[in-house]
Amino acid sequence: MSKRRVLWISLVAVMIISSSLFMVGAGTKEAEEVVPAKVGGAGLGYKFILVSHGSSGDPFHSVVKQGMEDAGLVYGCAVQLLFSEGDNAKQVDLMEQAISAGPDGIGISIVDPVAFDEVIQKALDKGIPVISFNNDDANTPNPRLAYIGAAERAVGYQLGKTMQQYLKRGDHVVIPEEVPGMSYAVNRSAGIIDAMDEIGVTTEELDAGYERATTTSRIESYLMGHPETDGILNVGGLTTEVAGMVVEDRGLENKVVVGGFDLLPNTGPAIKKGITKAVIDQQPYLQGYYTVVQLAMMKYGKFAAFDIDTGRGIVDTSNVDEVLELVGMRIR
Amino acid sequence: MSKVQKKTKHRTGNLKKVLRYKDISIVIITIALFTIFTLVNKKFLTKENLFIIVKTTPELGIIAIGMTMLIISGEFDLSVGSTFAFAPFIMASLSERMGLHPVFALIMGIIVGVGIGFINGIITTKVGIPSFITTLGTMMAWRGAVLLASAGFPQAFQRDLPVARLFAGRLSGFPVQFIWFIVFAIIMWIILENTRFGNWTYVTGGNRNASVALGIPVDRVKIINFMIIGGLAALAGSIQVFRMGSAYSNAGLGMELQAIGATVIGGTMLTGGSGTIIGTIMGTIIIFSVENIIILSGAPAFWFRTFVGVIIIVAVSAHVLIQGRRD
Amino acid sequence: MAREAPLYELQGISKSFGHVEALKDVDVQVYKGEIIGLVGDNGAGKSTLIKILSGIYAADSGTIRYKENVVRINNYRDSQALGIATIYQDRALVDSVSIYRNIFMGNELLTPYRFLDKRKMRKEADYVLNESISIGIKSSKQMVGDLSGGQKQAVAIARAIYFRARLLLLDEPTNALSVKESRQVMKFVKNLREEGISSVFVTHNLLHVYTIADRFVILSHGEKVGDFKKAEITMEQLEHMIVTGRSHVN
Repeated sequence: MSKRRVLWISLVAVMIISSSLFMVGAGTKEAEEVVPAKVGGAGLGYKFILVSHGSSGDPFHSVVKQGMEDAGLVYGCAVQLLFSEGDNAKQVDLMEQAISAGPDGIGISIVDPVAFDEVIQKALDKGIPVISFNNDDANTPNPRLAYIGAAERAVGYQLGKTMQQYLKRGDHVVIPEEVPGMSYAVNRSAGIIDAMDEIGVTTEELDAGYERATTTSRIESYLMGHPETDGILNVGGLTTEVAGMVVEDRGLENKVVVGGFDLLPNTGPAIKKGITKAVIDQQPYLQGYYTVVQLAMMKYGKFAAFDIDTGRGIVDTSNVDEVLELVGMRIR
Repeated sequence: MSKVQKKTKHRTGNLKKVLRYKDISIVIITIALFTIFTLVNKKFLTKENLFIIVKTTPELGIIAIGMTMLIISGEFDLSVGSTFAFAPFIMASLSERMGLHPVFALIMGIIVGVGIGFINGIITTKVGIPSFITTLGTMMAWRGAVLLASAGFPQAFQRDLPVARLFAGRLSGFPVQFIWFIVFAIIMWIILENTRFGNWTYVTGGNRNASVALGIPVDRVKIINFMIIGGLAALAGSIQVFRMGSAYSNAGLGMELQAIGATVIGGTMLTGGSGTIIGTIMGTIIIFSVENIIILSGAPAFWFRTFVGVIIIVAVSAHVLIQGRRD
Repeated sequence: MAREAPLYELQGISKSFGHVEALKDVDVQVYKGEIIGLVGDNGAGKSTLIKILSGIYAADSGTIRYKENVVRINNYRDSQALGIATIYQDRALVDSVSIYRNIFMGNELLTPYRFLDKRKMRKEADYVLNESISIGIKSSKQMVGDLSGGQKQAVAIARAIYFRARLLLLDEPTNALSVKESRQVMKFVKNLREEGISSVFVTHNLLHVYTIADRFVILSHGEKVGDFKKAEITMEQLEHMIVTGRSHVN
């Protein structure tokens, strides 16, 4: 190897190391908040590991994380959250690692009906209690002790039910999905369709993509090709935001109603303007919060685990301002 | 009589010459597709519908222009989607959190993009790692960085600032970003076709050893092309921020493949050494208009991707047939 | 017969790779407008000699003179500055760009505003292709990838001529070519001789080299074993010498 090349390699190495140090530095502030506060609450001193299918960059999961960390502070427990970034196999691996770390309890979001059965049983065999949060395997047997969260189909139905007042028999709605086939999309759209069927509204699903330029173009194209559309009922936050913007952009405020999920930056203003009629808040903070509380109580009082429905918050013009304030605090 | 003969001969000669010209077949295919699409659905060729296509193509198209130059020089960049999120996030943060003037914030964002390109270029050329691997690594690294910096929460950016309107506003209804797309396409076309650097970009990708033998600084050529695509990805991401009024940590997901797709549909060879900017513009427009026509015509959700895939393969096959295959 | 001084002169050139002596004390003179056939069996040292002249290898010992002045060839640029152009087997051409862009690559002509002067480059390229080596290339706008092997060889040579090469080093130039193409290449190497450009022609094909060379330098195991004008040696004798490696004694 030439001297010059060695020089370059070392230069790049220095660059990488220093930039990663910089990033760690940037992240420390956040990390400090996770450190268990012995002073907080009862100071139980338990250690829990939570394995999520989500990605650290998803605002939804960031709020779940906030709920977990807050509960950890209140109960004086150490909470470690691992993300698999949507990779089921990786999530099983993370679960294995969690088991060998020997925590006092494990929470897991179960996004596959069979993939996690074995590894959850393994944890239980070792005496580590496991409960599921956010996503559950409700249709096939699974050894997890309880589920903390909302049922996706019920959540979708709730949106449809809320939107019924803005639609009438013979109307048509489109259901854009960021990733058709993902379990949340399948179940929420099924729930929406149930509610629309009740009042005789026709529905069509749209593969909207998950990149904003593409999503914008596809939703606009749909409205162009289907001028009979009276509503856009979204299963995810990204399309909810884009749909509101598209309707405003095309001046269809009085013709097309929008409903969906989450409060991304442009969704709040769209609710205030009356373009987006309502969004469902899954209350992710509570999903994280109660998971930790449940695990702590199971250890503390040897209580039996039980399911907790974290509810379905409806956000519309009546409460959007106060919810937005809480969004800023990462509670909603 | 002989005069007439001569004239027709001249004409067919010209036609051949025109067909031989490297950009013409993609233009023919685009026109053919637009004709077919109009026959399929007469709404396709309305001003209103074309505006839909024109509004969103620039975000991908600007990246695809940079990708074209980089692929011609013989390298790839998979990190553009992450740069598309990271650099504008820096811009939005500097402007909104630190109160920097939005124009300076935009300039800083573009400098960050150029810097990302520089790092990609240095690692690829000086350390000697294939750019596919280098940029796969930096793709993850910068996505991680933007996640860390944002904690997943979008960073707001005022949509009605003059700079935002300059890049993503409307000019009597027409989306300004498309004008910028064309402006950058023309600049890059001039650079690629009419400057020494452009010629070096072609020959570096076409035959690296020959270029080295003739004293062309191939590493420098590649690094500069990495920097160009980094800067363009930052600009494209900023345009999306101006349009949406927010910088998102998950922006630009999957854009690297779309950009490579647009480039290849436009006739650029993945092996390097040949390709054109005009082809890439057409490639980008084809991607968005194919999606548009399929949705306009009411294809069911789960068949959608299949239709897009089939039409793209058909279009590229026609391209190969017209132009003749080159190895 | 009093003869003018050689244009290029190699004296006592030796080169070893580890224990292998590739060249041992080799002397070669190249006169203006002369085609030299550099012949010898595999491993005789022909390629090493060519690479020393083109600046890829440095000789261990010996001197190189250009117009009687001692010169050093340390790299490709030095070699080019001395008017030496090497036509590589892979021809150092870019298939995916046009002929004129190939000819001017690395030496582009620019307008006063620093843009490529494409018109002038095309004109010059067309001129050098048609006047110097006319081989039936219609337009310098053609892609090099669309040319035949012989035409590509011609483009590489045209580039050398345009940049005022005085000595062409042709390493197996007819290797990958058809019979017709080989004939073309030999024809324009001959034409160049008329313009005073010298060539060193390395080939296995004795028939080719015997047809066009004025003089033969025979190498065997790194040593020069013969240096004859064409009139002094028959093709059979040449072949015999290459095989046996012995100087022919008449």
